[in-house]
Amino acid sequence: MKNRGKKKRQDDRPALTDFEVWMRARQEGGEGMDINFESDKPIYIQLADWLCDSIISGAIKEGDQIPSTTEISVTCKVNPATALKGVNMLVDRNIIYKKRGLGMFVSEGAVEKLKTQRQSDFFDTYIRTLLDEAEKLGLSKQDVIDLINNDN
Amino acid sequence: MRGIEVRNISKTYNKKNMALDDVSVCFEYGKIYGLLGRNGAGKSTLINLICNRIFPTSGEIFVDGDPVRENDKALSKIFTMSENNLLPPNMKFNKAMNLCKIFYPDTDLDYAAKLAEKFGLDTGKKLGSFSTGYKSISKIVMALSCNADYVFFDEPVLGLDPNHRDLFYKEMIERYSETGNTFVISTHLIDECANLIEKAVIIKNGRLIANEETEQILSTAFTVTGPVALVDKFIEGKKVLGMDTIGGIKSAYIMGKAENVPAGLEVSSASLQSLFIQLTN
Repeated sequence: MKNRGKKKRQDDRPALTDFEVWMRARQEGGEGMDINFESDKPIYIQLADWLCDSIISGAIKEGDQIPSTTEISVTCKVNPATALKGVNMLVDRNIIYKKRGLGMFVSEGAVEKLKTQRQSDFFDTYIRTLLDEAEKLGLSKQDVIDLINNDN
Repeated sequence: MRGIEVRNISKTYNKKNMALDDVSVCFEYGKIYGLLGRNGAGKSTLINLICNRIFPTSGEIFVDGDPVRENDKALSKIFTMSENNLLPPNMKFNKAMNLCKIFYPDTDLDYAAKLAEKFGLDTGKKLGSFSTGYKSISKIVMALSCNADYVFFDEPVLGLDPNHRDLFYKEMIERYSETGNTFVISTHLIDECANLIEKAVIIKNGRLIANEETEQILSTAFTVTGPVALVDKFIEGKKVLGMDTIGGIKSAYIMGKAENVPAGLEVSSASLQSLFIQLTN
């Protein structure tokens, strides 16, 4: 009985993560990933950002396997060397780690690490741009604060 | 080092039309290249010289160190998919694949069958009876399944609908990941393949003007957009590739790094396509 139970589990295909479901749906729909090549950031950085977004949002969970570089490059239609460069950037930051022969996985504590990083970037990426735009439009800091307070 | 080395190649047609002028370039093994140039720049001439369909007026080409001229061993490493139909039009596609297997023994017929199915290609049909799109597809299937070390695509997506183009790019990446072979794509649809190609070889009027990593080429230039007066002031003394003005707004393509850009100007990186247009105009 024990054996049969074990065998059944082996036959079952592993459950797809939300991320895989989403990615497959996109693949089947023939859509690529939204990479804006005109953007200021090189593609590999955008790929890394995209993976980080997926990790922060929980689409790929800590301990989960991330798509292979081939999968990423095919889905996003980018050169495999570019995909590898993006992934390696996250390996260097210990966000993901490689298991020889098995693939790449999200490190424990990656979400916390990414959130801390993004929080410290928050001022430059969002507040600074917000204030610059406000100044262009003739809105004072107080106007902006009022707008924020009015938003429920 | 493995690769195709083109050394000081010149090609003159009818003793007066200089198609290629002293071109030296190396296609390293294991990379995806984009071979870019305007109509008549000499892309197809270069490809035809490499696969020995025509002979150079001067210069030499080597494949993994062996001269390509009348050299079956060297030529068996190269597959060229071109616009010309070189196989008899009344030959059925299946037959053509078998023929391909004779010349390229590593041809993967199972993969070819699967790929043909993905593209919806009727493998029992004669080559001459395919529509423009399916003529391209039949050649794509052959090129992707031949497993030659160096595969050249001369305008591979001619007549293909967006879905089939997408499929082609994806299959090519997958094939490249599996085999590690070299793929060289010559195309005018630069935006579509810009992210795919690792290195870009750009030819202008028969001369080589760039042979660099795509990222490298892109980092050499940037675009600023803003009010005409501000842009004009900023570009003073800079190497400007080109400009577009619409209303009071001006965009300038500038060589170099974006430094000390004044407020009010927007900086963006140039796309390979816009850079190509500026470089080859």
